[in-house]
Amino acid sequence: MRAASGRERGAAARRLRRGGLGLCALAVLFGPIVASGCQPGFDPPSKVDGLRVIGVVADEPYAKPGDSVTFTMSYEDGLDPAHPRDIKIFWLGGCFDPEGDLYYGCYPQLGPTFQALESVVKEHKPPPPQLAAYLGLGPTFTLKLPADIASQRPPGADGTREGTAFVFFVACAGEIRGVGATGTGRAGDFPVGCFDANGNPLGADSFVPGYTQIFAFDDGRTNANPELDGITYDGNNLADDPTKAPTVPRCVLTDDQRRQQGCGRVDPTKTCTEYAISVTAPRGVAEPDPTATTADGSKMSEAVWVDYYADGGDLSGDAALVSDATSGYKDDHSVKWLPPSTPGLVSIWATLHDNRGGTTVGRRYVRVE
Amino acid sequence: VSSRRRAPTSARALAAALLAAAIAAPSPARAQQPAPSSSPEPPPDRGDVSVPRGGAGAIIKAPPAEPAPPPAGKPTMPRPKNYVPPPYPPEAQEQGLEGEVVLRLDIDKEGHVTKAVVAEPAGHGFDEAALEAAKKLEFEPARRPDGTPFAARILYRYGFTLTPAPPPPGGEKPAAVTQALAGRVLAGGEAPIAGASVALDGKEARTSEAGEFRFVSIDAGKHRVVVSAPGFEPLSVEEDIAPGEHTEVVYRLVEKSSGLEVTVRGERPPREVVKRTLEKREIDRIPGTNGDALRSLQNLPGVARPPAIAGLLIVRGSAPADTQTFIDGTPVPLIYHFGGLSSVVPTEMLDKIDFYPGNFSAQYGRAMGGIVDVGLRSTKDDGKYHGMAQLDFIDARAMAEGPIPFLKGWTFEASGRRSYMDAWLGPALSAAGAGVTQAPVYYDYQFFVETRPTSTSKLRFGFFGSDDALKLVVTQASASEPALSGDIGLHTAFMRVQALYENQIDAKNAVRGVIALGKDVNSINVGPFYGDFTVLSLTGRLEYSHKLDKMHTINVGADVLSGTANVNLRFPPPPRPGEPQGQPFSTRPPLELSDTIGVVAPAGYVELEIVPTSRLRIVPGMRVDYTNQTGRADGSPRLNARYDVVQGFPRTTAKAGIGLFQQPPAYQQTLPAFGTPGLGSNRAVHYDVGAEQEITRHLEVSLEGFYKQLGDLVVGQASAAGGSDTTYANQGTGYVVGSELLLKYKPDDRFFGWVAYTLSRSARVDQPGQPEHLYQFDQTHILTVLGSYRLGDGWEVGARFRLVSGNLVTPNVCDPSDPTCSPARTNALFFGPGNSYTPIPLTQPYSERLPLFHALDLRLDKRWRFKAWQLAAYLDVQNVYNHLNAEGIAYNFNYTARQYVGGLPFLPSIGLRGDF
Repeated sequence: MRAASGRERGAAARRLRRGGLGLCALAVLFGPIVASGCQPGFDPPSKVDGLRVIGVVADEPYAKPGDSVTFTMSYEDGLDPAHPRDIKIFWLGGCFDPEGDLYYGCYPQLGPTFQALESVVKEHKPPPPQLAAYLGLGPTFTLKLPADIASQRPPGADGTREGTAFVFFVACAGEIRGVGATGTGRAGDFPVGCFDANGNPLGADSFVPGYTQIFAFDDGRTNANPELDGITYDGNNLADDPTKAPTVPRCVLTDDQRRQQGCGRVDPTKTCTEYAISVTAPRGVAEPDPTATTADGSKMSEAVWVDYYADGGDLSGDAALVSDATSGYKDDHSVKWLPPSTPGLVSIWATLHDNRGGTTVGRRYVRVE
Repeated sequence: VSSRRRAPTSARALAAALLAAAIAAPSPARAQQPAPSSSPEPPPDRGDVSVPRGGAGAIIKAPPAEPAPPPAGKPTMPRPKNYVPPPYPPEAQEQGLEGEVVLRLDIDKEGHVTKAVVAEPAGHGFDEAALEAAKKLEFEPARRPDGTPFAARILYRYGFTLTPAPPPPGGEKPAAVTQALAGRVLAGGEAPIAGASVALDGKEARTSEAGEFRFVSIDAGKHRVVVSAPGFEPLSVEEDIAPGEHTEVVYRLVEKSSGLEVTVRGERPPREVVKRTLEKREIDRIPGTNGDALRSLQNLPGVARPPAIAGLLIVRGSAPADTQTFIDGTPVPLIYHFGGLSSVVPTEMLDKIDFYPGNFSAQYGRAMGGIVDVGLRSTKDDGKYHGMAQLDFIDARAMAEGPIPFLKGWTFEASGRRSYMDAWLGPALSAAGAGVTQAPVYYDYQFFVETRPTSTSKLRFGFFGSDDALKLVVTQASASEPALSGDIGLHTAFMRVQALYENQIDAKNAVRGVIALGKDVNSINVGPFYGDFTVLSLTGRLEYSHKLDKMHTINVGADVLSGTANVNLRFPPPPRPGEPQGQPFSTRPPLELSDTIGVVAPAGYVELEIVPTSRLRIVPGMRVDYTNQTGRADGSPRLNARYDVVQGFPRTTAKAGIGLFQQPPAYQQTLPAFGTPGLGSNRAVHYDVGAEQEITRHLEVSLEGFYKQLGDLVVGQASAAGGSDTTYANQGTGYVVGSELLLKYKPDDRFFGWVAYTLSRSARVDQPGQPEHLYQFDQTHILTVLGSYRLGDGWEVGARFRLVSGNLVTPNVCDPSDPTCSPARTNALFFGPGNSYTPIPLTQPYSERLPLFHALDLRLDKRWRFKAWQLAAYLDVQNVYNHLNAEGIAYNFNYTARQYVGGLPFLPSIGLRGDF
């Protein structure tokens, strides 16, 4: 009888063990499915749904010492197209050859300029005469380079001297004001912020601070901005006149469905039509780069690439290489565009860059019905 | 392990009288020789064949019986014809020390001992006593099946144990008693083992069908009992038989584990400060490691948790590049395959892993972090062929070894492994739109032949290597790197042809040398860019050890690292004049470079082991390194010491060490196109102090404190000449301070486990005058708790829990959960020439710690044993409760939002293994 009880206990233990092992097996098989996340990702940089700077173009990316260089900003406020806001653009120049050629090396030089900007905006006072040339308002700004911008620097390995200038700018949908330090990083803090009428700080959809950089060589070296011919969709030219914009049907996918990643991702081509968006540029868009050579001494050219933006729909990519430094022009530099779910006029931008600071911006339109 | 109960008999008085008679004999030592086995199998070549005992009042027992004739059809190993008891070393006897000495004996065709060498020393005079006695041993020689004698080599163990002192003269004479020891031998699950051998002081009994055995009329006192059965690990226990008692015991034997013993040592005594040992059973049952020995290193104190799927070894707050890795003394560039999935040497080939987290011996240099020296085991020389095959979701491997036909005295060992994730992971990721055309592929291979030219020497030639490749296709460039599209590939490989010779010439002299020709390949291609670094190397190491006298041993050695490094690259250099710094890396016109660099780095060292008393060991050493990279010779003095505060059980040991360690700059830091020629070595001074304490026979604790003072660290900085160039200089300083605790339960027949905890701080100052910041690899708290338990019937279950401080990152966006976080802060600036955003670091480098890492891993093993082979299966589950452990921070394009990048999710792995 006791032996029988022992056998029963053994059988019960075996059943328990089998049950435990069965649970284990289930966990192995189905655990990853239960546990895996399918979170949507971030919005892509190509989506213009707030205040965005599309490009900053210097008419002379490589200037001569003493030249006057004009900067032009292209921007768009995509936060609420039905209620356009007053966007203020400010420029601050006057930083030449900062320490380490780093933008935050400008802060010691530009401290008075930033303060002057604040007093100009807040108290409507004219800037001090010595700083007036370094402050600007509006989408363009002209800066005169010092004559010694290059000559004051030590020569490089090839004997040429090169100077550099940094220009800061802010695009603000409110009022700019000085701000205190909020961090302790090596790059410091950007000294001005953008505030609404109630004094509340505005975020990145209403305030874009930034900077750009140009160079000046004592050997007279130049660099032209890359040439942009147009923007196409499926090989057809997009119009630069909104009234002549081609029409495409809308895509009914929701925002969440478009952003979904991983297991729950919806294939948009099963529901909607995608269009190939591409910039058109001459095959010789890239200039020869005098400083870059291959191991066998052959010359290389600039690298040229394009950034795409749209204020409606979704682009499959944000950028594409147009011309490689060694292999040259790339025939395919297109991205796919999925129209938005709501009808309306959509802007598509292409910003063409070369690796020496050259920039060109193009804007075209398409109508969604 | 045994369980026992005592049964006093009615003949207690008689037994007491017999005991009194026994201990009255005047001989200083008692020797016991086991009777020849009645088993038809040849006796083992590692003999527990002699057990001399010392202590006050001992007995010499009768010499052993005549050996049994050799069984038909099989050769026999030498059998002892006489027994010569060694004298018990007086000093050891006075101190109450016991020990075991294993000798390697060469026995000629006549049965004479021609050479005796200490294989496993015990010190304290035991070695000398055993050697002296062994010379007088006579053997029945080994014989072939036809009866022809032949020379043979065996291992022969002398055990020295103390017996209780006799009762004081004049005391009451006890009555004669008799004692008995009886019991059962069981396997896991309480199944009796029939036919098991139970040896007690030279007597042998075989267990019955019920697993029972019995010894009667044995002496009171301590007895060594050795229990063995085919397919089980032998069990050796000491029984203390009280006068007049019948002792009943239960011995549970543990099934033999697969493979050989592998030892992981924290720091090798006696030259270093600390000793830690992991046994094979521990290594291949640690959850979360898939049974990989080298991955078990990551559970030891002082070793930080590497980032997810990174095969890095982060030792005591140092960068992974600061720790050198060797295979049998030959440097290799890596020990883990891609992503740390497995190591480049199969566990089955390992003999030991010497792991030195700091204050390592002068035999190692060119590193200021730690050292991992993987020791490969000798090939099996039992005349049989052995093999193993294992496969799991990730890779498959196989190994074979045995004698080389027609080449007498030579054995071989060959193994290989290849991953096959590419067969299923690549298509799966491609279907999911991940743009991957080929998942990681790795393989490794090892081939060795070995012989023993003399009884004391070993000669081995080997060929081994590893290859890792990864290939991806990026179909769509990102805004941040528009030129990076197309093929992305990584290839890392090394190969070594190695010759190793070692000779324990005699008790005082030993020499060990290893030389290797090698090729390392590191290549990367990212779209239009590539970099190929091929290194052809010649490395060598030679060490001679000489015991000067009883107190002094000197170790003199040299090692050399030489070769040529061929560099072919096409990569964007740092921004040149006219190129804005913030532009995409991939759009800079590349620099093309083809160059050959010669590397010569010889070194010499000397160490002296001083043992003024049996308690104290002091090891001063000096090493001098030269490298043409720096053009300088660096001297590195070192000093380690250990002192046994309490000898014997429970042992208490104090230890300390100090040393200077120097590490040349990385190659790329001295390449003219990318770095700065003329740099000096990085420098570290290691300080160690600690203690070890045995608590029980199975439980021990060790506590160490360490401090590393770092100086002359090579750091990059803006060029003094202006512009955007980066130059390197020996300007960095820093320190690492911490303590390590290991509470370990050594394996018994059911359980093993430990708690390892490290508390540390690693900080750097990049340039004089700059503020101190925590170093990238700093982890304040590292807690590992693991254990494994045998359930019986071949089942074993284990668990590992880790709780580790999060890794450090440099935040660009403040943590929204931080009350001081200002959502209005400008986190990035739009950069016109690139239409990108330049983040503004919120703080100094590495100021934010990711959330606490914690994960539970489980492992379940099952083994089936068959007549000629065995099959094992395991389930290893990582991150059982699928905790999202943050491994980094991802930001959106303009740095207004952030989210954690998760590490390994719930990840099961199933493996199968068969061996014979």
